[in-house]
Parts: sequence; structure tokens; C-alpha cells
Amino acid sequence: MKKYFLLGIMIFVSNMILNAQNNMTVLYSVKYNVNYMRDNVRIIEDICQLNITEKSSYFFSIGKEIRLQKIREKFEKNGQNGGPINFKKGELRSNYLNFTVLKKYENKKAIFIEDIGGQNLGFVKDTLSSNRWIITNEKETFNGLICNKATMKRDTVLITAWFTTKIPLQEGPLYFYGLPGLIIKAKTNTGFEIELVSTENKILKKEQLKIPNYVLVSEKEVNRAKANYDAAFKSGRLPNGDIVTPKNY
Amino acid sequence: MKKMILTFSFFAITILAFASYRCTGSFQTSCGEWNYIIHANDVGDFLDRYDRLEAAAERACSTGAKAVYC
Repeated sequence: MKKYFLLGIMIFVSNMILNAQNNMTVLYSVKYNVNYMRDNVRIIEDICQLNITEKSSYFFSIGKEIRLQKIREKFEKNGQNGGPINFKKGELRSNYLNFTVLKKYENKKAIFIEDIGGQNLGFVKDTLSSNRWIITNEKETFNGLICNKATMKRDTVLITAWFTTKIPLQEGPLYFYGLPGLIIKAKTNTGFEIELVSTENKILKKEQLKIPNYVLVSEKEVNRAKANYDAAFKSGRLPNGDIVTPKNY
Repeated sequence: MKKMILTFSFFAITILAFASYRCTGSFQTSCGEWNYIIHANDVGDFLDRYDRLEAAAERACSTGAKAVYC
């Protein structure tokens, strides 16, 4: 396992140099199992992918992609012929991470991006500072990799992470960043538990990275936009003309 | 000239109107069943609109408590 990780890093670094001049980008792609529990209820149970390039990284839900694929199939089967498109309870997964995270290394920003009312809105969640991590002497082995434990307090959130220096990328899931090696496992006192599933090297065209266009606003504005959309939803008519009503209405 | 523009506009609007899909259906959430009508330009547009509707319905069920930003 360790050999593959080291080989992966070597290929990643050499490809980064080789491809810096053209439209191709080298990707070190990491998949994490993401769980979020609150009041003993599992709200998120998802696989998320972290695509790391030389200038940025992008963390997104694979569960959402599977969900969209199911909606697409149903639309192509029924909707195109004018038939009803009905979804039963539990047919589509809703326990996925509904925002994505873009980290920009040059600007030192971690941006949370979410589609609200048809527009991708992003706000700066973190400044990618490594100063707040406290690295402890505690060690634990995950996936055959010896990991060091580190903790960070951010507002009221306590983050505990295990990282390995065998993969010397200062990366991790969500906005976690700045440790001297890739985060293999992380948890927060708010209920997140995240663990590495796999790593992979890829070479892609830059447009294949799936990073959406977004408008940068404040967190307050994101919450306001969400509240406006939800208010329109409750009124039954969305600004784009779509209509929704409770069935027993 | 004016007549030509008006004729062209009429045909363009007619074509656009027929090119969109009027999708109807229902979905179930943790707090009940919902009917919807979505006017989508294409499958991608339907995906986005439907996805947003269902997410908003779930938020309505849990009165916003499901918003997770860690």
C-alpha cells in the first residue's frame, strides 16, 4: 500500500512539471468516505472526491452525481414524452454533501460553493492557514499508513485529523489544509467523520475538472439567498415559474 | 422590414415554446408528498430545477435544521 502511495506522489510531481506548459493538468485524486451525524441521525453518508492540482483543489460529492444520473434516466424515460416523472420516498438519495469546496492556493482561500435558486454562490470559509494546527505525538495506523494526530480549534468547532507525511500534500477534505501530509482521517465535534478510501493519479484537460462558475459573496448573503428561495418555495411558485404544492393541498 | 422582424420573432418564440419541456410529477420527502410543474429547456435544466426543488422541500420539512456547513 505504502509503495503505491509513494509511486503515486512521484508520478504526480513529475507530471506536474511535464504538463505545466500545456492545457493538461495533473491530478492527484483522493476519495473520502464522509459521514455526518446529528442527534443520533445520520444526515450525510457520502463518498466525496478531492481533486488536487498544482494551483487548487476541488472537493465534491459523488453521491450527488449518482442522484443526478438517476433523475436524468427518469427524465429520458418519461419526461421527454410528456409523462409524469414521479419519485418515491428513498428512491433518490438525499444524504449527500450539498456544497463543494474550492481551495485556491495562491489566494489562500477555501471557498464553499452551493447552487441556490439557479446560481452558484460561493463564500470564503477559511484562509488556508497552517498555524492553527497543533501536531501531537500520538500515532495511529490507517490503510497501512502511520499517521500523526493533529487538532485545530476554529470558532467552536474542534477538528481532529490524522495525516501522513508519506504523502507530502498539505491537503485534506472540506476546508482542512496545512498539515505536512495528506489527511487520512478527520472528525469534528460537530459530527463529521471522514476517512480516506482511495488515491489515484490522473491527467485531465483543465475543463474536465468540473469546477463550476460561481459568484463570490459573503456567508450572510448565501444564507439570505437560501432564505429567499425557501420563502418562494413555501409560497408554491418559484421565481423561474416552477410550481410546487403539497399533494394534499 | 418591420413586418419581417415581427414574423421572425413570432416563429422564434413559437419554436422556443415547443422546444421546452413541461414536466409534471411528484416526489416524497420526510414530511409528505409534493406535486411539481417544471418548465425545462433541456434535461440539464430539468436536473438543476428538480434538484433545487427537492432540496428546498427537505429544508422546509426540517425548518432549515439540515443546513450543514461543518
